[in-house]
Amino acid sequence: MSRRSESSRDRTFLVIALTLLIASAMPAASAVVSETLYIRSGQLSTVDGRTLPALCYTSTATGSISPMGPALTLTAGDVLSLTVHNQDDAAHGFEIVGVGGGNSSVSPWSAQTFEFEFPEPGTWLYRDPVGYPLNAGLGLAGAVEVLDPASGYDDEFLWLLSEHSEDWMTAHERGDPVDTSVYRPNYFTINGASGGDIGLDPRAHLVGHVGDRLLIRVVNGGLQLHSLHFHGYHVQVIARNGIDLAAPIEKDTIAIPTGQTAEFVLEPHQPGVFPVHDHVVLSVTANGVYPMGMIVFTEIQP
Amino acid sequence: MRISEYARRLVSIAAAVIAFTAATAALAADVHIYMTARMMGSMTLSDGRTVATWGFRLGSGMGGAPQVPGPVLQVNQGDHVYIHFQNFSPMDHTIHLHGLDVDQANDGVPQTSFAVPMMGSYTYEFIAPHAGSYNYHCHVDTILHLQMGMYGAINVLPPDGSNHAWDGGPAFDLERTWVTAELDLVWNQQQSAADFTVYEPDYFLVNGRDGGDVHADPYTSFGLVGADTALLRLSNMGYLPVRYDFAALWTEVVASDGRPLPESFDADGLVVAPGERYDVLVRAAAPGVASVGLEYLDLYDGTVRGAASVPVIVSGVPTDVNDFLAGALTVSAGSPSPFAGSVSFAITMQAPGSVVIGVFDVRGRRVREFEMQVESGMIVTWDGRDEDGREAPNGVYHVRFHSGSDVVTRKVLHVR
Repeated sequence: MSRRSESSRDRTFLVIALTLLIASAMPAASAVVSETLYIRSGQLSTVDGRTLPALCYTSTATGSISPMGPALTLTAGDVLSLTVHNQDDAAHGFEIVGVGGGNSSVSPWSAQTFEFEFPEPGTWLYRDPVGYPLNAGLGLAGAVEVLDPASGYDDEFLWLLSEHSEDWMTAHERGDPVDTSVYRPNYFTINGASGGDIGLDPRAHLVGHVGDRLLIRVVNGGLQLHSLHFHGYHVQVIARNGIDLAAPIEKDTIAIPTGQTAEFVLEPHQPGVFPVHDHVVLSVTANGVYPMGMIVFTEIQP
Repeated sequence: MRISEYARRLVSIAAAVIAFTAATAALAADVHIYMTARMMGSMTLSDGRTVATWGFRLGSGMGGAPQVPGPVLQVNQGDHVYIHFQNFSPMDHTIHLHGLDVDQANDGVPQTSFAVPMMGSYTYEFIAPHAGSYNYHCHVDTILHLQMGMYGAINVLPPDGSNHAWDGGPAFDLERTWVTAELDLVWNQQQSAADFTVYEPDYFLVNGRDGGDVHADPYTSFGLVGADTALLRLSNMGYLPVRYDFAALWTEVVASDGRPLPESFDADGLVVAPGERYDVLVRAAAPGVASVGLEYLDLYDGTVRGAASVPVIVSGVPTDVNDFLAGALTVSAGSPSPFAGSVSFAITMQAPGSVVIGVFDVRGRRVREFEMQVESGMIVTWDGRDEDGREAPNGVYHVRFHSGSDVVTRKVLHVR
């Protein structure tokens, strides 16, 4: 749920009122989690050593930016109190797809605080709804994961999928109009990294043991369809877009349309090192070079 | 594909089917499959253009051209499968057993397993774990090798080899395996030098055929008689999602990626994303020719980038026992007529058999003759050309269909 008001005074009152309301309504375990995000432009480094101008949510007001927004990690029952500082010259917003914020707008060089309730565990996408799909496509997207304290998984992983269109990014930086009817991304990332670099991220590179019960949250923060294929294993698809499926579906290839999320449970029956990659093989490239794109590995010990 | 190619293809497939049938007759047998990789293939598209292909073929010798897609491999659940693979080509290749959850050594990924070099060989080995639909493909420089045609299907039947979607699952009378893909002419011509950031496919393939040639492929089109149930094994080895329209048929999606679905659903509007497989039961809703539509969708905005259609011939529920006499042959009127490019006929037979098709001009001179195996129904297309490939002159032609004691003649008008 998103709550927003137009003036800072109204907003302050609303936040206080909401906080009191929610505090009285929620179970005792609920907590208000305060987070801050900054909307900033900056240069991204690609796997092949180039830089691209991007717009991103970051957790710091200065310093280098990551290709994708930081993951917001909460626990079921939490209330997220999120302050978004817009450090760009254009208006931007903050939407958690399927939860709220679709009409949000934060004026240039100002800040707003949003509240979202998460009574249930799940996985969602956040992105900029302003000027969609341009701003989201320039990098303004990230993942929300709401943990279930009683889940008992041996480990949890998070894969935020995205594409990056050099055409869009360079046109936008020059101040040229971007033709959003044509989208030809040439870099493809998981958690902001490509190819072998993805393995450096412990939330992406999946390590476990035979017989483990491992949760993988996948968020499509890009504008295209991705179709993740597991080598070596089938997984149980247990949820889509933050909602549990009536019954798990056992798959080795799972299509995740733009803006959507999915949760998989992997219970490895065999040891080994296997890739997981987009079977839209176009996305397994970096500026056309295969296999430097959307490919991550599972590493299962006996 | 030109009609004259049918005979050659039928022979090679029939030989393969016999080999597999013999190999898989026993329960949980050792099954030995011999496959080679070849890069000197070619494929003729519906507009007559010939493109280069790389691919797989059955056998162990150096000779012969690859098939696109590769041969449909069929085994039973529990079989110990050995694929004896020889690489008779100048590049590295592998066989990745897509969806079969094989061990790392047999996974066919160069980065985690190994590639089979030029003139090298390897025996991929696995135990078929679950009845259902799978693929195989080369996993070396996949973006190019897949596009060039190095893919195929593996179908796993229940342990007893019966016509069921899985052990204890729904039964079927006939099955078809549809593998979709696309073909980008620039990639096909430039190969390793192509710019893989720009994908503008020109052809939209079902089992390696496009356009009107999809209709003419007996391994794609099929017929339903009475209460027949067909099992369609849909898979996507291309880079675009494919949306299916089964408007005029009764359908039920029962399995995906080699596993029964917890709840089946209607297949109308089913989207098969790259790498996915869906098993769909199909039954007749009404007599006639029901086209299944395929739309290849843009990854970004979902617009239709290309299309294909597959005819399904549905004959009525029989009311007269004579309708079920073996060999009974029905043939639709030619469509379109008059025709400029090619003309198609829907054939149904009550029992599998061969049909000799002769095309005669008004003076009774034979222009063209070919023979086809018909399982229960198919679309036959005459491309308006004579035995030498020359376009036949304008005029009336009699097309005679001859099977056993049945003869049916249809008249068509050719207007160039």
